[in-house]
Amino acid sequence: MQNSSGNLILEINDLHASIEDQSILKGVNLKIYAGEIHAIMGRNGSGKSTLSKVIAGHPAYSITSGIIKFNNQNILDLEPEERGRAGIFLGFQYPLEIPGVSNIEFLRVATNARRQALKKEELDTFEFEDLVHEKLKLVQMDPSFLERSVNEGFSGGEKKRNEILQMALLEPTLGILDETDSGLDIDALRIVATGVQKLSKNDTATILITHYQRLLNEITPNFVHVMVDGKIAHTGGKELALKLEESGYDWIEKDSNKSEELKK
Amino acid sequence: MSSTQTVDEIVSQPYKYGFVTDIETEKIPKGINKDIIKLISSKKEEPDFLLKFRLRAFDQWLKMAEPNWAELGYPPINYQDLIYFAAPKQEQKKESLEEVDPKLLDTFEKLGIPISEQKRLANVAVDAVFDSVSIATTYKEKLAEHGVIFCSISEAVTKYPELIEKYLGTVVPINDNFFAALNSAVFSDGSFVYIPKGVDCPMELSSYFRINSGDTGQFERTLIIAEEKSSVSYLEGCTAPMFDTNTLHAAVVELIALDYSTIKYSTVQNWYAGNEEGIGGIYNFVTKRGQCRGKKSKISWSQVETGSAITWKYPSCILQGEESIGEFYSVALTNNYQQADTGTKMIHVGAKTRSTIVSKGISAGHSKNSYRGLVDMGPNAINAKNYSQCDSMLIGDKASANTFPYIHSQQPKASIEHEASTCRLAEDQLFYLQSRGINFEEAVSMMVSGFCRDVFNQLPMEFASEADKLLALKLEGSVG
Amino acid sequence: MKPSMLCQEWLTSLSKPDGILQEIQKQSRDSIQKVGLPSKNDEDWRVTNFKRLQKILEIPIAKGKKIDLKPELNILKSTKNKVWQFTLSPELQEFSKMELPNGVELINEKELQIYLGNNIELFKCKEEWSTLINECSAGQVLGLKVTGKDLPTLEVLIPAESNCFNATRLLLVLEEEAKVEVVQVFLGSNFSAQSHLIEIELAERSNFQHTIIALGGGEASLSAQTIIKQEKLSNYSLNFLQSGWLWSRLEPRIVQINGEAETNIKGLQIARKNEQVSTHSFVRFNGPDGKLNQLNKALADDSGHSIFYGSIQVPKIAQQTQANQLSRNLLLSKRARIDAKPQLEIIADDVSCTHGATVSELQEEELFYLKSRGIDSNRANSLLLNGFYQEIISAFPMNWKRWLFSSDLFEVKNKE
Repeated sequence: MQNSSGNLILEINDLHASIEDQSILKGVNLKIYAGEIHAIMGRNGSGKSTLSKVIAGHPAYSITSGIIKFNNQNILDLEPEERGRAGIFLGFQYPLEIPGVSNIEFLRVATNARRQALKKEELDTFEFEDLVHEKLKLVQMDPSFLERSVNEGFSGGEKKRNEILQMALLEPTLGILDETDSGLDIDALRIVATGVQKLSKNDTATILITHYQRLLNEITPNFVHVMVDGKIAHTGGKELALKLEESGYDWIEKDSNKSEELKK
Repeated sequence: MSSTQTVDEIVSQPYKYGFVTDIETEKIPKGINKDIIKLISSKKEEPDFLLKFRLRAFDQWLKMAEPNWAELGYPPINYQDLIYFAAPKQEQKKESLEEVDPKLLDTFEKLGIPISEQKRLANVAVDAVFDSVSIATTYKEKLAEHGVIFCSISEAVTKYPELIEKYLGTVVPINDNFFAALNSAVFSDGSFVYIPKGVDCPMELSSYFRINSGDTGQFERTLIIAEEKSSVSYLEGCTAPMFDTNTLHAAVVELIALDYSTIKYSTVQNWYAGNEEGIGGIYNFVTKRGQCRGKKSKISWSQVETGSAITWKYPSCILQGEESIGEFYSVALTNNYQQADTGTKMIHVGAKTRSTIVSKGISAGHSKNSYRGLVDMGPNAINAKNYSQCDSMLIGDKASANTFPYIHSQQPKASIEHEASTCRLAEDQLFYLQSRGINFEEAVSMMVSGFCRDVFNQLPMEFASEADKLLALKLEGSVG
Repeated sequence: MKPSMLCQEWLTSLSKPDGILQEIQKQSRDSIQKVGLPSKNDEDWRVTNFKRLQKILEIPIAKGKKIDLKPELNILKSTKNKVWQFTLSPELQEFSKMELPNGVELINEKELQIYLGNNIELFKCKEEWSTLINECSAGQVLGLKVTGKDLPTLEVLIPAESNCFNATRLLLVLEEEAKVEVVQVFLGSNFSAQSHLIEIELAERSNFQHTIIALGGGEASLSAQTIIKQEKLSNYSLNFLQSGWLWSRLEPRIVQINGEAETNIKGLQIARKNEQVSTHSFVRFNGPDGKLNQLNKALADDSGHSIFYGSIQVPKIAQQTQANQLSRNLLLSKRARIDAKPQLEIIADDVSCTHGATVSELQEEELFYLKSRGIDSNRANSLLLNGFYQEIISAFPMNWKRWLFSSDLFEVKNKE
């Protein structure tokens, strides 16, 4: 396996989380260093999406035990916006449509909040327009999308590109992309993948949550994790994704059942 | 050919339960006063607390004014010209069915509710109420094995007075409204159900109400109590003979659901609706209310309302227990000069309570069909949710459909969502069905039935098809 | 004091019946004594704060400051829109001396008698309290007839005199194919009360863009009755904002007299502090092929109380009517209240009518989405609130915001 020389960006220890008294995450452990790309795979309901929302601080989930450290700081007490400003970015599986809120204003407010945290100067409307037009090229989006309400009436692909546009503007240290590939045709997938690759730097890290191999053909992960029943049941290199594509998840589930039994 | 005209023709069809049973009836004198109430109470050999309850209610009733609703029109009722108690003459309440007057058994058999041992419905226990009294309850012994009490309320008053005293009038107070007060003063009979802790009632329970006398008011009273972690499904059916005078029916139903219990209450109401000119028929003014007292308790009302000259009823839920659930599924079909004003109240008191309302109104002829509802989110109804859907369908251009959904909220963490639509029977859909060789009547009935599907799905299996048939009957022409 | 006594005292404080409205004043003063004040038993008033309603009658009648009735034609810098602006007050104004733009005529006294009260009669709302209180007290009426198309925006400022009761009345008649945009701006001030009545007649193919900006302040109250009669093929659009009133009630009544017309209503009402803000709309279709689109948005915060009653009547004659009504309500505080009551009465069978209502707080998922992008709680709240308003205020005339003297409309206090 690749040796990671960068700084530790994300550290998750024995994380348990639940929603409405139903426990979803049952002891997740994960370490991510600068410069790495991690893929998290697993069946529906295995807890992948929950993990991403919990890292971003979704209020519906309660953390029953464990810890999440970001840049060596415990973030469990931070509000979602504090996490966002600190450099955690969650690309939503289903980006929300917010009628009446203009996309460009939303992008500008968010960008300036992040810049403030980075001790950079805030951008005025004109400066921001220049910046956003430059970033639009990265995701090949039409400027007309800026004038519309946030995600309102966007197609599935347009919504996902709008997510990557936000990522480009916010320059996060950790980008988590929750099923960003779902519902995309091959062209849109390439655009999104290229965008993500261009945004990956030596001092940033990325988590890709996905069902399919096809995104991983475009972006090569350093590690592939498989989640089963709220835990990371198996970790491997990029070849693991290929094996999953061929043989499905059954063998891993059996393995993890076995190890459960051994424990007992 | 105008399709409206044809639809008009097929929605008008005779009422097949309109016969009168010729049986000797014991009636008390007309009118209402304290002596009449004392007489009813003594005839029923009631304990003292109940007589006091009746008299208190009567005092309240005297002080109350008859409601005057904008949407309902009916001539004033002379309450002194009604008979408040009528019973088929029998020696005593019979312990076994063999002793019941065969004429009565025949009557119920003609109504499709056989109660004799050989023919009774499988897996449905029936309490048959004829005018003011319950004449028979089937499967009592089998239910008793599970500790379930299912009997007439008169029997319960003598056998289980402590339960009656504890629960009667606690959901619908005696002064709740004009008709509830009247009922509390003079109620004659009705059903009583008690499901003990932890018991899932092993069969469907059903009451069947038959009004036979023409000049008698019908005031039945139903009380259902589901103890912790129990469940029950209950169905009531109603018919009446054809008279050209109007008969008053003012029932009160109270449901009490304790922790983790479920009560499902279904009604198929087919009282005589009056003739095509709007003469005769039942005035159906009933108060039905359930209280989800316990945590995670659930009360579900489903109703198919096809009869009565005037219907005024709002089966409601008071959602008190945390995470309790209230449901209301309703189909109301009106034709000729029928008037129906029906809906529900969902009173969210406790946190995380949820309610669902699905109402389908179909108005044909000169009828008026109104949905009137209230969703109330109290100050403590944190994270409570309501969803309502009210759809109306108009057949012909003389019917009316009104919708009055009232919403009140005092809790920001509660959410209310209401949707409603009104449409006509879609001609192009009719045409589509007809072009596939389906005859007109069948096509109409298919579409109406499809329109009501969400509600029929909520009825107990045994009765879903009955309800479907009933609607088809109301709408179909030549079929007898 | 008893309501009946209160009414009596109020009537004696009014000046003697006089002028063109003399007869109307006499009749309505007789009626109000019989009808009295609304009560809990009137369904349309059930949730009203009656104490506040009664308070209105305790406020002294405005003698009217002499306001110079000099209409101005302004060209607004920001939008280059031409705006013809004048101020209406309870003071007897010499309308005949008023300069009017081309395409607008003053309706003379004789002609006024033909039009006045027609719409009230049509709606049988002569005995409605909102009508009565105005007819008892308004001393004059300004009647304007619009004949042209390319007119400047007419802006009618109706400021209230502090601590006084102010009654004003307007009549607008649009001739065939006429087109006009009218903005009415109500400005309340300390303990002021306003009663306004406007009747509007739209002839065939006319087009009326109506904006009402009603901004209270202090302890101000407002009762505004707008009664509109639409002929075939006319278009009436009402956009309104009601905010900052201790008590306010807007009653738009619209009838499509022969159907085949189009009506659009977009309203925004905001109840903060201890305000009670209400809208009671009535739309009736007296002919086939009519259209209605109605969107009412309401926000209740602090101890505010927002009320929306929306009645739609589709009698048998109104076949092929298409009516849509939506009431969206935001409830932002535990002490605030929302009451919403759509009322649909439909007899025609070939119609398509929908209505909907929602009550909730700001959507948690939307808030989370914004916050996860680093936007702080307050900012995220006001962005969403702005978004909520946008659908309504985007229909307002470009320059409406100059009337917003304070910008707290778009702010959400920190709930934590």
